[in-house]
Amino acid sequence: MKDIQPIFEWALQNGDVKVVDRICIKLLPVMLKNNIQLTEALIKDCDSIDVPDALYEEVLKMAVSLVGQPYDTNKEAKHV
Amino acid sequence: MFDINAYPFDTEHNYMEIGGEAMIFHCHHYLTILTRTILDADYIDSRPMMIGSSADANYNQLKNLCANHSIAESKLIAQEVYKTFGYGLLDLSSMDENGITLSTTKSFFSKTWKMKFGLRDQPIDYYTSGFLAAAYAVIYGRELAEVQVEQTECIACGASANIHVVKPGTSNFAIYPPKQPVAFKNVPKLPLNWEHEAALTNTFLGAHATLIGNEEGYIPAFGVYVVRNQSDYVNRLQFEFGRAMIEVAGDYGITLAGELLMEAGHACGFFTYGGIMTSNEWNTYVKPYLKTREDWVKGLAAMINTMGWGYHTAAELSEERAVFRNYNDFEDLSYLRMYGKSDYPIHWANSGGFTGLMQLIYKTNLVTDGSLGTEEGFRQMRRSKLGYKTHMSKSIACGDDYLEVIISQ
Repeated sequence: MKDIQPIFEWALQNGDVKVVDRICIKLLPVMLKNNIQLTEALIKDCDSIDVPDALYEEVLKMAVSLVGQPYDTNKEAKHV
Repeated sequence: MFDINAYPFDTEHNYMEIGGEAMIFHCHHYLTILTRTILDADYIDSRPMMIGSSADANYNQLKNLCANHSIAESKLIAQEVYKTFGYGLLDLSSMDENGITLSTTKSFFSKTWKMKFGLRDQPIDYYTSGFLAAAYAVIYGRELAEVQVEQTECIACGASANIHVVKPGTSNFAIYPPKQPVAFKNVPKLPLNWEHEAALTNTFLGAHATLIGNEEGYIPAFGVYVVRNQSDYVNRLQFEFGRAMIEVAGDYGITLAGELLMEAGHACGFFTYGGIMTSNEWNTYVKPYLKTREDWVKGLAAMINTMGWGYHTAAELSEERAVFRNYNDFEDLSYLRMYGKSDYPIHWANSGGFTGLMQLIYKTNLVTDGSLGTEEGFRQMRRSKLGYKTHMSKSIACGDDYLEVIISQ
């Protein structure tokens, strides 16, 4: 399991308005398969969101695609 | 052949109708974000709905406008309507009973998509595909169910022109059932309670008629591009998307969709209202009446109540909390015409618009130094935790007398 909360936090800081909801809507089918229902409001209230490794990779890939920058793992370390 | 001045504004219901279709203004920020939201859910086959919504509204409207006109006249009417409404330019002269392969370099949807989001890999002007299918059906006496349309080239994909192909055949877009007539909710309105309301509303009454397509078929106004949408076209996009999201994910689906649909309204409220409140017209006719921030909100309401979106007013108004109402708002009336009653509020555009307005008035320097800021500034502000929360508390489509939105910090 891996924590996707730092990815969302990074996307919020660097992406377009409502980028988190966009990630959620784009990944909706795979999120539902993993019984995960997130919104930006919920994510802001969570300290961590642990998901299977495969879903973590999907969220990371989508976040990078929508933000348009490589994901900065150093920033992730600070959040963690 | 087509004159916008022939269609008077309904001052009792703050409503505009042309050829049997309710008409509203939307800006390119709203329409591009709405379109992107729908396309983001690529597990939903939205193309039939995107074209079908346009085809349905345009078919109803053109059928009325072209009644008792010849084929040649009807082509001219359709071209003028398209241009007047701000969608760009079309030349229908080569259309015949076999359809048309139409090329145009002036397209509101392709131009503004590219301007806001850059290039994409699929054509984006679904509206014009639907318009052309409708025009062909009306002019050559066919049902929409007997028309096919495809956009094969798009400026938003890097092409030099948009190309749409229309031909007879079993339709490849959604066909919708007939709509109900408009049903206004005739209840007493809570007035704006502002001494300058009547003066300002009267000043701008009829001014909408100046917002028509220029020589390129565009309506640049207030720092944005606006179009005159058939209300049922644009609202059906929201409603059909909401329904599809419920099918995919139930209540969670509509919650997620609602957040993004509201964001489209928020951007519209911020940029279009901001553009209005930094315009020469505002500075000349409205600003002299404004003393407080609340006056700015009421001045805007008095002005936009002449634009066909319903009657905007405020039951409470302060920086911390506002309760806005809209009597006969365009989203609820549209929902009732097309679907009847709703189990949940559907006025996302109005709600986002009110929230954007609050953000503009209370969280920017607009009132103090007249600056609106940049699109990046808008992003920064929206990321901030100082933003407003929006609660859609009453809805005509849910059985209430008016739309109500509560906005709080």
